[in-house]
Amino acid sequence: MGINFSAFEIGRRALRAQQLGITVTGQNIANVNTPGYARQRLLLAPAPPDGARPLSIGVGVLVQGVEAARDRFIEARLQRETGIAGRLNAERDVFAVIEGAFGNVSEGGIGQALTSFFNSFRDLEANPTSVPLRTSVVARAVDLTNAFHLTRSRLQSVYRDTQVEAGSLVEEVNRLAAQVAELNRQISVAAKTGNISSALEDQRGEVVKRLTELVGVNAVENPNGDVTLTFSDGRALVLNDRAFAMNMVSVANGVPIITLDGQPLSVDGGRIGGLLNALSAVGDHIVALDGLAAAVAARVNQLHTSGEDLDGNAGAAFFVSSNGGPIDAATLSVNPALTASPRRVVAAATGAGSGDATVARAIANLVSDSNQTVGARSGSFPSIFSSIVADAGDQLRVAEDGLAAQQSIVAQVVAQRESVSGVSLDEEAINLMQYQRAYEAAARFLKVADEMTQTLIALGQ
Amino acid sequence: MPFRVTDSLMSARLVQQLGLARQKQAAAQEQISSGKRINRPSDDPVGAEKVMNIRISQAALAQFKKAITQADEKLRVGDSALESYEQLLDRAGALLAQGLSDFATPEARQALAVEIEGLRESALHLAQLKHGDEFIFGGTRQDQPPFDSSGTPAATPSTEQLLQIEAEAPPVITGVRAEEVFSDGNGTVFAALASAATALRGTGNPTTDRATLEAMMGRLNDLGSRARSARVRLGVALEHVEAVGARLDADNLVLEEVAQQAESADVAQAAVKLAEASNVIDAIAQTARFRRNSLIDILG
Repeated sequence: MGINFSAFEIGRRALRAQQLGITVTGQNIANVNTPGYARQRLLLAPAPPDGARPLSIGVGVLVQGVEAARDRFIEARLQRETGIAGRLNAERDVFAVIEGAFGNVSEGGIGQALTSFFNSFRDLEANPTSVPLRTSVVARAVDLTNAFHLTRSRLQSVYRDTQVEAGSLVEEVNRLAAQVAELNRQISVAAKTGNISSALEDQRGEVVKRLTELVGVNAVENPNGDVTLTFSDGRALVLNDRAFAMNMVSVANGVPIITLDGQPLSVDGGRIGGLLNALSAVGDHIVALDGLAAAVAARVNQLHTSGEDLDGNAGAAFFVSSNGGPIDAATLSVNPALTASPRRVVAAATGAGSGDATVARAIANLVSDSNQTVGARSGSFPSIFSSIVADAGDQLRVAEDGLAAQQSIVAQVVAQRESVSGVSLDEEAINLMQYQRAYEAAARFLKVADEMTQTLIALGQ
Repeated sequence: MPFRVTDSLMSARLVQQLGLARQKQAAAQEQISSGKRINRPSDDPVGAEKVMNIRISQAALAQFKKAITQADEKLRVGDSALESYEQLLDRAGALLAQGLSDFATPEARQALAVEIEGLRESALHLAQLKHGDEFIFGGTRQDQPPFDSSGTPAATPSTEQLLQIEAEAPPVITGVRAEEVFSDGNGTVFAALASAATALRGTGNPTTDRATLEAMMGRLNDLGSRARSARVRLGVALEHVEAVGARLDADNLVLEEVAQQAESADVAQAAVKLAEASNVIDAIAQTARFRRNSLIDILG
């Protein structure tokens, strides 16, 4: 019987395999808190016998590779749910600011300013010849215009800020898409050269997750390891190692248009989708507010010009546009002629005498005149404003409820992902001990083999 | 394979539960400190719209209450002036009766004429009486007195002043016009009193003077009736104003009750929720502090 050196090979392989096992365990422990990290497993198999000799028992252990514990179905679901959460999150964020822009429920803001303005005409009705009360009417009207300006300015700021955020997120999407394309390329190269690409896949997974959160893109992993990112219309953001550019194009008085590779794209998911929805909502609120300001001005002007002022002059328009254009919430202004001379405020019907208060009464009655219409809303002017505010609150409520529900779903899917891919320190401690013991045993085996060899060599001397 | 519970999952759940508990704690704290269940429209959009509309209605009611106070004041001032006017007419009638007496001497008639002329001035003063900046009997014509200093009526016509004191109801009068009480179909009270004074002084034709005095007595009676009718109208308006005022107070109470029901926080319930949330936070903090037994510890 000759010296059997295959025992050394078995020992060497065993030592290497257990060493790798300890390395993989260390990698898992090191990344226990790394977002998106999928725990790795060392894949071992018995090395087949070398040749077909009798009593072939193999040549030890074979390291087949390192596998990341991932469930593609759970990963895809997590991306999808994250995209929805991203949209709802963006809507909630913007709707909360919109709600704040309208002010307090009980006091202040346009609602109170409207009521105070109409009520100042009620005071004038009781004393239709009073100049101080006319001055008060003008002051309340200025308060009203300021309230409209302030609220519209706040909404405009929300619109602007939201648009800026959407624009910067589009840039981030382009940067991330380029990263995914590059990672696709690197993973593809690694696969061809037989290298382990788990770390790259984890990195790509995190980037894809952020992309789905931003833009609600669908990620499909191809058999070759590439990830293709597509939108709901089937167009690709990333295909193999190529990323297509997204752009945001501003539209005058409208929601910006998103383009992909130069063509318009409908983005209905992710934070960007949410921001676009929110932009549309802000735009609707601005339109509603403008409509209310214009309707109030038109109705008050109609009544005011039907009468005559304290000096018997024909009534002038009460509200005018500050820039000469159409009256809206931004341009609503009190006629400077009235500000300069409150005697020009009309209380009386034409020819009825300065003690008449027909016009003042008609304007004061607008506070509860429910025959007004602004867009699709009808009721009194203050109640129409209440309706606008309630709609803003309703949008936020719906977004908050939806987000809370979605966060639960995301948390559930994250838990499922963690169950499959997360690192358990207990498990890793056991693995560490297991590999350490195996390593010690392999070393002991090598020592025995070495001693046996020494014995044989000594016999021959 | 059993559901694996990892360290990250446990930490993430702790953080998530802590966030939820903090939200509940903050919401309960806000309700307790503000006393309101609805602090922003999104707390209850339907309730918030209801509260906003109630507040608008209450503001309108408060304004109507102010209008009622003003109407009440104007009506009382007008009524008081008419009362003085009625007394003035009674006195004038009595003086004319004395002047018609066969026992009245020329000197006595002269004295009666002087007093009648004084009453005429007083009547003119009453007709031109102002409340604030407005002529009480001016109606809608406020740019000039109802009668000038000679007792000539203003050329431009006037109508009664009206004031809205409740929503969707006809406005009420806040006074009567001078034309209604200081004039009749035959002229003004001032002209009548002037004629009476002239007749008392004597025109040299006793028969005509007597006929004039008798005619003027009849006129004064008619004007007195008109004044009494006007006072009745003011009284009716005053009663209506007071009734509406009481109704508005009741309406406001109902509205406030409805608003409170919709808006006010159930403080006891909020306190319980606050305690619950605080307990959950304490428990989470305890859990986070608890050193989880791990094999790592066992292995050293």
